[in-house]
Amino acid sequence: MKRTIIIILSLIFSLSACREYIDIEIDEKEKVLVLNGFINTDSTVRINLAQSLGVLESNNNFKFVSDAQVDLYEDGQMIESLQYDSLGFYSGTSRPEAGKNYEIRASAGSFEMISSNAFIPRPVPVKEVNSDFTLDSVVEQWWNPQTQQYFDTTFVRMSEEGTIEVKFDDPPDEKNYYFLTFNCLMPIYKWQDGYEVRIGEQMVSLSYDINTLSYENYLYMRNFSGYVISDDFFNGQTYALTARIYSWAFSEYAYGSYNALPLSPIYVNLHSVSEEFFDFVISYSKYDETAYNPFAEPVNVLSNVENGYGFFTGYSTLTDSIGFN
Amino acid sequence: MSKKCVFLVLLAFTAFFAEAQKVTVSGYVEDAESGERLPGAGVYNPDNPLQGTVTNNYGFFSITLPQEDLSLTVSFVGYAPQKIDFDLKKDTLLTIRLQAGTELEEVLVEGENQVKSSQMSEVSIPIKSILKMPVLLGETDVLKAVQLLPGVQSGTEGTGGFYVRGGSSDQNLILLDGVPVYNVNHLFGFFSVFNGYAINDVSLIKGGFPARYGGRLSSVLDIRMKEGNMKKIRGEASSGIIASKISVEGPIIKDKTSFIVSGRRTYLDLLAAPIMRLVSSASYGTSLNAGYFFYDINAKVNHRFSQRDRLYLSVYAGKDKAYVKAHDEYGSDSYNSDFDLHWGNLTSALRWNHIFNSKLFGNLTFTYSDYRFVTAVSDEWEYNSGQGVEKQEWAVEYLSGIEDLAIKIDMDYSPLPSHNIKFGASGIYHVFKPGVSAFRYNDNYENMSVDTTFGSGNLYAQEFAVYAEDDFRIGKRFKFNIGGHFSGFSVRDTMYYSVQPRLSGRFLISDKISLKASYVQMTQYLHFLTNSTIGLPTDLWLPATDRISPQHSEQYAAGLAFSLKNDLNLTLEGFYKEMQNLIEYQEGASFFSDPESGGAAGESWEDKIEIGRGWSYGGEFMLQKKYGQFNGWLAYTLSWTERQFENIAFGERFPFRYDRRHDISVSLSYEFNDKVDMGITWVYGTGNAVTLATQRYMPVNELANYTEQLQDPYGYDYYYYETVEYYGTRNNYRLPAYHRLDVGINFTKEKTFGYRTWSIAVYNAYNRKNPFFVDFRGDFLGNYNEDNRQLVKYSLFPIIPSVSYTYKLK
Repeated sequence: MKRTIIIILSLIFSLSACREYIDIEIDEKEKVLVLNGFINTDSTVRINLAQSLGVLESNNNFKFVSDAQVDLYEDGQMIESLQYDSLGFYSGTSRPEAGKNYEIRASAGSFEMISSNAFIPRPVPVKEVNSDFTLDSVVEQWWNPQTQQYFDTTFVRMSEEGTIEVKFDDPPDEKNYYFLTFNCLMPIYKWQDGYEVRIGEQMVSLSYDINTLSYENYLYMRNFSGYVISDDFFNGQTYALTARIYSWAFSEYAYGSYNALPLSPIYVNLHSVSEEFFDFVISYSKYDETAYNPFAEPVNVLSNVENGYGFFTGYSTLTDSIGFN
Repeated sequence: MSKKCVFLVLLAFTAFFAEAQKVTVSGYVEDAESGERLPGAGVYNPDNPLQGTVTNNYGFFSITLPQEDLSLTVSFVGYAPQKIDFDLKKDTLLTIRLQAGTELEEVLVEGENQVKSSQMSEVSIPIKSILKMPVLLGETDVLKAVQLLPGVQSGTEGTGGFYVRGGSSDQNLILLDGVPVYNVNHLFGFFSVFNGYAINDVSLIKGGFPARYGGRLSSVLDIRMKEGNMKKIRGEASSGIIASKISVEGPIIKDKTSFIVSGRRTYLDLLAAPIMRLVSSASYGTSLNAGYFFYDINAKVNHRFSQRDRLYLSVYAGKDKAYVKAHDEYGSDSYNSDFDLHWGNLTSALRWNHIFNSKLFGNLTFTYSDYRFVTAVSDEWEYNSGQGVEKQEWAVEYLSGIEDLAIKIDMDYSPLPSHNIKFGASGIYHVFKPGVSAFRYNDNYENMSVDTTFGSGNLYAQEFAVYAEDDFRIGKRFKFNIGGHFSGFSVRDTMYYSVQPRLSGRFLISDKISLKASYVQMTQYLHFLTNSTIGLPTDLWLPATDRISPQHSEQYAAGLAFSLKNDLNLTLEGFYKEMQNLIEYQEGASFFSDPESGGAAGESWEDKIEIGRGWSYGGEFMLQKKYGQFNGWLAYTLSWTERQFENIAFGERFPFRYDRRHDISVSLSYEFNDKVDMGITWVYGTGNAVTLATQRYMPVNELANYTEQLQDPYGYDYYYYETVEYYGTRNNYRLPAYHRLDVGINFTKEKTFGYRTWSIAVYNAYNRKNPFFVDFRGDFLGNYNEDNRQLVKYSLFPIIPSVSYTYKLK
């Protein structure tokens, strides 16, 4: 219906409307530093610094910041300065701990110093993982350009959608937020002499759905996509989340290839995240929904960086896995 | 109670009835030619200005005078005054018929009324002036005339939305013959639902609301329909660029029963039909039928049972409809697709006027209104599966609306010339339909069938109100209207009550100048959910609930009224208004949100709104000449309007979208002679406040995708990424100022049976490209270039000439 109304309005426009470029006194603000970073208990700290862009500036002007002084604080005490590696990333040697607060303070050139805090919530163990998949063997003929012949190869695939049930005990008397991701290993191929050669494998995120949650709760990131969940309705209880995994999503990445690779396990990651993380995902979804509707009031994506923009947060993770024979 | 109190009460009673040796003259004032009652006519003793009154909305007056010989003058604008001599011995009931005639003397009465009345912040526009104003596409529009008044901000260009003293559009009580109209828009607000031919009188109250009005915070727009000619059949018809309208009125039983029927319909769909056929014939196997139209019908019957009893039945029905029907054939397969979007109002009122005695007039009204918005989409596919013809079909329908059933009793009691008391009560049964969707799916081949409904269930609420007000004079200089409005609202086992004091007064500095002041509290039990800047039919009316309190406002106003020479009236007013419990969608939530995400179509709309406050203050100036060869007005408003919501714009106060520092409107009309008249309208307004980004940056998720791609082992050399815009606070920019000149000229000629008029008008005469909206991205259909960003302004209406033809029977 949205589209129809917009089509009707477009029709009105096409009859009479005109467009022109105009000069409105745009309050061109000074550029500021943009800090982005997800830190977690499984890896050392790594954050990214870039510059903001003016509203009329081209995307081509996008710049990372490589000469910044970036200091990391743990519970108010400075513990190290992060070192620049590449593409705006600054890395440290510290591994964040759950239950602690981390702060980044960064300054570069004439930019105003920025700072942001992230609290690492304590991880919540996955109590139980149950899956319901039907796997089929499929024999297909593939063409081998080297031998110039077809050959039979056997694939193992999910025959239809599967489900994964993830159970955990939500800690009582506190507000908890979760981010659930499923990963599997994807072979990486490269074309060589007209032939696909496997050069390694990488971890990717699996798309999934949860019936009780809307897309507003979904965050898409390469290798880190999933739904955010608050414990509003199950505080202090054992909760079972049922995720629907699509066969196409899993097959695309993880089926055994004609190189007869074993089917990748599915890694179930229950991340304990902050309320800010939850709010960030919701605000981004809302931003995305209204960004192209000129008749709707726009939405700010949550930013938690003082004197700058961006989002810095932390999480802790406990992982389980589902293996396939 | 102390003895002192008892004494004071007795003293008051004694004073009240001290003038008991008097008689009362009461009755109706009506048009001698048509028999239509004349509200607002003056009835006064020319020898004693303190002895006078004004007819009420039904043309009734009551005046109590000493038992003596005296004369009363009855006058009304556009009519010859009538002087009646009395030798008063007993109460007298009269029907006074005025002949249309010279205007000058009545004009003076009108001007004096404005100065002498205790009512402030009220503006009325003669319907004759509205019909002569140059308008968009030749369609007369009451709401667009209202937008030109001081203290009224217009909405998005071309639409009829109006915002009074910083209020929202839902805070206007728009009454058609006393029945609230919920959706006043045709074609997304570009035209209003009110047909000028059916209207008798329009008045707007912006503050100092008398106790008889309630239920909305910001204004009362009282639109009264014509009653129908009691003497002879009259009619008029006109045809313009997009619509034609017709009106017929006359007696069913002469001097006893009359009727009026007016209708209007657009014909964009009829004009587009040949194009549709052409499109269909050009594409083999496809037929397409699409269109849009609106219509409205006003009808009214009134019957006089006696001089004391009269019955009215009035009905309005209007509808907008957009539709697309497509049929495709591929070999033996066929595919049908239907889309239907329609919305409309039905309002009806059955009213009984009764004169109980010479001092007491009563009015009992039953009303029913129904606003509904329906959208339906369906697909049907017939195909040959090899085992026979199979059929697969699905349909989705969405319905929302509001339905009211109400009863109201209003009494006018005039015990003394210095007191006019009004009291009454009302009850409304509301049915809110926040949105129900129906889904149907049938598949012969798969043998599947689904038929289900989901969405928000109906909400039922009861609203009642009782009121009393006394419009009284103390001496020659002071006049007050003091009253109270007590109302209640019951919903979901929750009961809300509200006591709203209404005070207004005037101090007569001289016969031509008065000082006025008022203080009112208003409560509104209805909320309106919208996040669009145009009048979409998807905007929802919702009740206060156990979780969302009613809206409430307090308004202070003070001003001066001057009656100048040559029928010129000048008013200067200042106001301060505070509003509580305003609602707004949470950031990003909208009607179009997925039901599960709690958009209005979902079950939890109450979770998706913010509750906040509003402030508005400013000053208004109006110089008006209502009648005569040269008439019109000049209005200027200086105002500030702000809103504050805890989770919007970081909880800070931000300017309301229609916060306009300056609003100027000039509307002038000049009659060269009986054959030619001309109208000019010029408006200027500070640009609307809009939310635009101040900077952009790459958010953490896009950054991850971007840097991953930069390191992608596949070695792609194109990196697609998006930045997000940072807006800061809401409504942080001002669009360029809005201004526009409209010019119209009417040529009238007498014909054998009536008068024909050619009306030529030019909307936006100097082709000002006023901003409809602005966008950084590119064009309206979403094509944009992130590498070459520019701020683009979209204008809707360039210079638009129009012509219309009207024929009016003699």
